[in-house]
Amino acid sequence: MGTNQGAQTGKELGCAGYINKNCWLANNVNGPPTKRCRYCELAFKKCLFARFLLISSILVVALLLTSFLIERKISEPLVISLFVLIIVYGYYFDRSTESIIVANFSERKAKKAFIELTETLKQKVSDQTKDIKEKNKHLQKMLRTQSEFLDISSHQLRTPVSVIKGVISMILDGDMDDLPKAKQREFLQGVRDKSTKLEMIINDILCASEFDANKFSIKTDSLVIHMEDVVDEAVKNSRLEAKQREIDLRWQKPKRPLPMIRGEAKYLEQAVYNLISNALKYTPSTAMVKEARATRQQKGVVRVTVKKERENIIVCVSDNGIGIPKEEIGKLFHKFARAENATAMYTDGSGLGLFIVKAIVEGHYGKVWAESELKKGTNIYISLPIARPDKQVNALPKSNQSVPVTH
Amino acid sequence: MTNTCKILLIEDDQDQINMYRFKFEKEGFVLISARNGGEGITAARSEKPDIILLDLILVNESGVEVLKKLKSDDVTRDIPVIMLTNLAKKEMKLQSERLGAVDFIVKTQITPSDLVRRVNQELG
Repeated sequence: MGTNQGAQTGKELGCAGYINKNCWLANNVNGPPTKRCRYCELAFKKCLFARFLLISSILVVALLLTSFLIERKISEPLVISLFVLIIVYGYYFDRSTESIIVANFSERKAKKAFIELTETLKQKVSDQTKDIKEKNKHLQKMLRTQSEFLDISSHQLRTPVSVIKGVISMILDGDMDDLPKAKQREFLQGVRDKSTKLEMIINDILCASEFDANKFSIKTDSLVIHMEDVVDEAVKNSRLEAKQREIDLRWQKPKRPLPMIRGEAKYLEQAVYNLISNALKYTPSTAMVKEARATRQQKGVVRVTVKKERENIIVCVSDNGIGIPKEEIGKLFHKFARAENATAMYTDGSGLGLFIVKAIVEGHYGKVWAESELKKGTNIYISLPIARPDKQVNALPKSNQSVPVTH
Repeated sequence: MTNTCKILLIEDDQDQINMYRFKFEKEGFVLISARNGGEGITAARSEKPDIILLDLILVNESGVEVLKKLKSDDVTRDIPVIMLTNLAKKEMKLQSERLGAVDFIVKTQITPSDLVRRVNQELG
């Protein structure tokens, strides 16, 4: 039983197998009144059962002694009545102490439960307060961001509007009546360019705020497409801008089709277009380049390439433009981020182009990053995972079409 | 109405410079333009314009900073400055007025003729 006792000491107070470690009786006399002692944590000195034993022994001795002194003998009826008395006393004692111990135990148990509950509640309240504070902070930050977003976008939107409105009101006022036709045309072209720009800024703002609200992500049933077709289309759409800016836009579609990727052609095309458009903006049509002995004129070139690298398709848009300062590359893909040296060349964009690129590429489980050297140029890469072959069952080997996949 | 008043336009957007230059030169003003704050302050000191039109969003700096510098320089302190911007923020307006700008104009809310009128009014 000794070993059993050891194993049972782990049991909780009040449970069937509980043995009070402090109990001298439980440890030394192999038969404590276990039924009620499982509720008892008292030390031997305070043990009610031990007191009962002590008191009844004293009583027995005292009575026996008294009767012996009075009658000079111990009569049988006396002994019997003594035992009966002790048993009856024991019975009532046991019942009353048991009820005391159990009541005490229940009270302690209730108290403990109450304290635990209070602690839990306190913890919960403090957790929730913390949570609310954090949410509040987040909301405030969001509001601030939103208000900054509104401030900056309204500025970006007003910039083209002020030119459109200004030029048109001058035409209506007759300010331009005496101007030569060519000069008038120049102003009108400016108005047209600014309205195109305005439309682009509006699209970018809508697109960015949509990406802000619902994180863009391709669907599982998105089509598998050839990335080189997407790039081809984006380059086609950039040709006019490249021509206007007198920049050499170089792109060679790979002769052999690359492995397909899963994605939304429309969005990816926008991402690539944004990259090309950026590269065109930040690349001068001609620049003087200092070399070891002399300076030579360098033509602005934007080059677009697509290749397979391990399990990914990598699109690279590189230019020999103004480059990005090292410390600013990190914030490049944030909203309204523009490197210090970029503002000098170009200020009327939406400031959202690269943010949109990042949202689109990440929505395709891809990555986008930049490498750049000041005054040398910038390479921006998009990496997209190749669609798994088992999902390419219905993909045509070489086609300009996107094909749905059946599972 | 020909006059030879000199205007300094500190503005980073070339299209707007072209537009305002055309209008003001047509009205007989001389318009000097600067594409950033530094250039603007140098021009203000050397050319001593009669009035300065200052954009709030400039390359790498805020127009308010440029205004502060203009107002703390003895040479340029007394030249009236009109803030000309597309950023219609109340605190910016208050700040520029506190710093001594004579007006705060949102570009989209006026036409070039309105601006000429406002400048004329300022120059008396």
